[in-house]
Amino acid sequence: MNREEHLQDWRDAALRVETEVRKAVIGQDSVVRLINVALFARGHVLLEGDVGVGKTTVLRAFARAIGGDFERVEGTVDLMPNDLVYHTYVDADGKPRIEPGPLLRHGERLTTFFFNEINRARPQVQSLLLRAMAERTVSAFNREYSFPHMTVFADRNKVEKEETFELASAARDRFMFELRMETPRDPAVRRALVFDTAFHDVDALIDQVAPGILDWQSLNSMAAAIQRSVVASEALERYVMDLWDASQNPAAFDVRIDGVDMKKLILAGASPRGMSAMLRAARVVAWMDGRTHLVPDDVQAILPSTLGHRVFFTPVYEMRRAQIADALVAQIIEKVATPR
Amino acid sequence: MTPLIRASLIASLLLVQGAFAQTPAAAAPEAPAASTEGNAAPQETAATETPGNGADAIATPAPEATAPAPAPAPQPQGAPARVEQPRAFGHTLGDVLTQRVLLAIDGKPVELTKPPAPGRVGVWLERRPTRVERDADGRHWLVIEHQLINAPQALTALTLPALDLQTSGGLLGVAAWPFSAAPLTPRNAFGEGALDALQPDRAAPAVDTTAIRQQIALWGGLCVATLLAWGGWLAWRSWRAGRSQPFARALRDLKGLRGRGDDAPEAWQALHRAFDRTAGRSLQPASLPRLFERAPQYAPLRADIERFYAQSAALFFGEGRPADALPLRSFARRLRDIERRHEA
Repeated sequence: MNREEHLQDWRDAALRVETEVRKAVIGQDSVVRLINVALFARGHVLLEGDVGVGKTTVLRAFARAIGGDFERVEGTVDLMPNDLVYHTYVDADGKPRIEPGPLLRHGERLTTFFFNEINRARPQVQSLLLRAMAERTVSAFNREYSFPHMTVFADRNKVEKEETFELASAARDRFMFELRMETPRDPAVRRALVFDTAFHDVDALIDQVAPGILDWQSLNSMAAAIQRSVVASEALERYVMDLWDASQNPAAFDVRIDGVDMKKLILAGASPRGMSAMLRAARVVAWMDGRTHLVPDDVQAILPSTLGHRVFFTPVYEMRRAQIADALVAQIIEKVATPR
Repeated sequence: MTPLIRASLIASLLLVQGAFAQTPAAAAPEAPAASTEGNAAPQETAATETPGNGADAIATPAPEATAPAPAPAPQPQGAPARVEQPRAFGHTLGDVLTQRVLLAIDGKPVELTKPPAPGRVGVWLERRPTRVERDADGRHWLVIEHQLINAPQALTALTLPALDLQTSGGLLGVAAWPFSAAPLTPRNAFGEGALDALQPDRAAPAVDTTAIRQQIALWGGLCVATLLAWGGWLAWRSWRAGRSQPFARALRDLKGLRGRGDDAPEAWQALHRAFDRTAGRSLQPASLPRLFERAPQYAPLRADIERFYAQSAALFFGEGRPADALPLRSFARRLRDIERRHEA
C-alpha cells in the first residue's frame, strides 16, 4: 500500500514536471511528454529537429524541474574524447593544471547531459559517449567515475551533411527515443513565439519553471518500481511480439508502402535492446495514465519514437529513411491486430 | 377519246415539223392550227376571240351522262384582259388550273385594287388565294388558281368562271374558260369472267424462313444464356459478400463457438477482427474515430462500441472479465443488421 501511495506521489510529481516545462516551451507538447517518459524510463534521447526550435530550452527547463546539474557540449570535428574528460591549462602561477572536463565536472550530480550536434563529433567521441550512456561510468585518472543519474540528450543536425560523422546503427540503438522536434504549426503558437516578449529571454523563461520538483537521486529506484508495478498481459505480449515480427518482416503483416518493395526493404528489424526499451517506455506511459497494466495504446504512443530509428533499411532505401520510417511505423500500427 | 389523242399526236408532230421546216399548218386539216398550238403550250387568248375554240369542240363529243351541261358563261364587262390559260383537257379530281392574267389595260399597266375572293366557286371548283407575279420584262401577272374538287362520273365539260377584276384603271375582264374533266375510274367494270369491280387479294408467296428461325433460336438462346450467367454471377457475388462481410462472418464465428458462450476470448477476438476489417486498420480505443469516419452507419451504436472496447481492454489487458459484459451475440447481430442494410 505504502509503495502504491509512493508511486502515486511520484506520478503527480511527473505530471507537474511536465506542466512546469510547458510554461517555458509551447507547441511541443508531445515532445515534452516523451522526454518526460524517457526520464522516468531512464532512457536517453536523440533529438532531431529544425534549427532554433528550442531544444536547449526544453532540456534546460527539464534539468531545472528535476534538479541536479545540467551540462552541455558542442560537437565539433576537432573535439577529442579527452576533451570531455579533462582539460589542461596553465594557471596564474605558470604551472600546468589538469581539471575534470564537462563529463566529470559535476560528479554524481550530473542529471542532464546535452550533446549538441553529435554528428559533428568524431566516432571516437561518439563511442566514449555511448559507453557513458550504456554504463553511466567513465574511466579516467586511473579510476572509474560514475554518474548514475545522468540522462543523455543528443541533437543531430539534419540540415548539414558536410564534415559530419553519421551515427552508427549501434549508437542509434542505444537511444530510447529518437524525437523529431519540428517548428510548431499552430498559428497561435507561432505568433506567440515571435511576438510574445516572454519567449525572447530564455533565462527568464527558465526561471519560471519551479526548480527541484522531485528527488532526482531516487529517480533510478523509482523508475525500477514503476517497471515492477505495471504488468503486461498475455495478449499484450503477443501484440508486442507481433510488432517485433512486423519490424523484421513487414510483408507478412500485409504492410505496404507506395513505391517500396517490402521484401527488399528491411536489413534488420528492431533489436532485443530496442524492444525492451520500448516496453520500458510503454510501462511509464501506462503509469502516467494511472494504470497498472499495459494496453496497446501505450505501446502505440511510443512506437513511432522507438521503432523508427531501430529498423535498418537496405542501402537503396536508406537514403529515404525519414519518409519510409514514418510510413512503415504508421502501417505497422494500422496492420498489426490485437487482441489476437 | 381516240380523236382527242390522235389530234394531239398530230398537233405535236406538226409543231416539231413547224419548228424545223416551217411546214404550213394546213397539213393537218382536221384541227385548226391555232387550236393545236394552244394545246401544246399554255394558251394565250384575247378576250376578243370567242371563248369556245378547238378544245371546246373536242369536248363536245364526250357523252354527257349525269353532269348537267355547263350554263352559258356570263361575259365579263371589263376591258378584255390578256390571259395565259391552263390546258383545257385531261383534268381530273384534285388538279389545279392556273390562269395568269396580265395586269394591263390597253398596254398600260394597272394595279389590282381588289383581288378575287378565295373560296368555293360552284360545285366543281375552289378558288385559291390569288397572287401577283412579276415576269422578266417587269410586267405584273395575276395568278388565279382553281382546284377541281369534284369527280365527274363521265367526261364532263366545265368552265373556269369569267371574272371582272377591279383595278386602278377600271374593270379588267377575264373571259370564262371551258375545260374537260374526266372521272377517276370507269363507272362500271366489265363484269365478265374475273373482271369484277374488286379483285380478290393475291396471296403473298411464302418465303422460306427456316434459316432465320434457326438464327433467332441460336442468338436468342445465347442471349438468354448470357443473361442467366450474368444473373447467376450477381447472385453468387451477393451471396459471397453476405458470407464475407465482416460482421456476418463474426456472427457465424460466434455461432461456431456453440457451448462456450460469449465468455470465450475467441468471441471477442472475432468481433475485434470484424471491426478491424470494417475500419480497414487495427482499431484501438484511441483510433475508434477512424471507424466512424469510414463507416458512419455504426455511429448509432457508438456507446455500445466504446463499451465493447473498454470491456475488451479489461478482459485482455487488465483486470479480467467485467461483470456486466456485453451480450456479444446480440451485439454482433445488431452490427450485422446495420452492415446488411448498408450494403443493400
